[in-house]
Amino acid sequence: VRLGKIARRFFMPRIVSTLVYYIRFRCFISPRAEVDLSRSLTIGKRTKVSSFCKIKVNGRARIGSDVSIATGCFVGAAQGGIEIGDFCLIGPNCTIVSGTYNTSRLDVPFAKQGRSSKGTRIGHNVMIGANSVVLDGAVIGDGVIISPGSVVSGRIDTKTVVQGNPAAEIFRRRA
Amino acid sequence: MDSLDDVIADVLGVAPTRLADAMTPEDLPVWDSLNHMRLITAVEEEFDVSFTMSEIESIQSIGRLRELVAGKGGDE
Repeated sequence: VRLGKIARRFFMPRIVSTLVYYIRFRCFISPRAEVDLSRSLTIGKRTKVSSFCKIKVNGRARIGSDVSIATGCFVGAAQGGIEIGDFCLIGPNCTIVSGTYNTSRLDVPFAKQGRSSKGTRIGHNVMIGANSVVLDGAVIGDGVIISPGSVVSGRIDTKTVVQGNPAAEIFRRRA
Repeated sequence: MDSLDDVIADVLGVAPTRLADAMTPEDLPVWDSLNHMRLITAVEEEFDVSFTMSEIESIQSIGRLRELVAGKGGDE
């Protein structure tokens, strides 16, 4: 299986995943994007993944419909999985991950300590500004706006606007 | 409790003495959409008032903000 994944990543022309995902899900993956061909990845209708994005799938990943992922984004789904709701707008060069390295031991290099993954959940209709980072364990409610350059690692209430590192609420959206 | 000018000055990073009723976001480059939201949140918390979305959109000058806070019983 590992060999198959390596072969798919290195030798398969990108246009193949563009076509496969279009036929399976009716979504639009740029031929210049690098999206793992995996049964664990589901993508909703009309979702767009722009050029130079990379979507790595080592766990379950679900991207909703009508999502737009701008150029240069990295989505890394580890064991805990990633869920992105419908109608999300993800700006250029964002990073969304659902795994991290363990760091509890001082006598062992990080790379030898194994990894952990709690999973990352992004609600519906979330706007993520350019260059933002969403870390493992983040739970983002519906209708949230994440200001460009923010780093999100915890729980974000629905319909809020957050900014900074760590991202903190600066405004509550209202009618 | 800080005065309204102190809160505005703190959020926008300008001296309170520079603030005038006629001052608009065009006069203060730092008064962008994000800082506008930070400003509204800071004023609401400090003066225990609440603005509607249309009021928030109508705040296009320091004078308008002062008027709204005074109208809602916020003590300047």
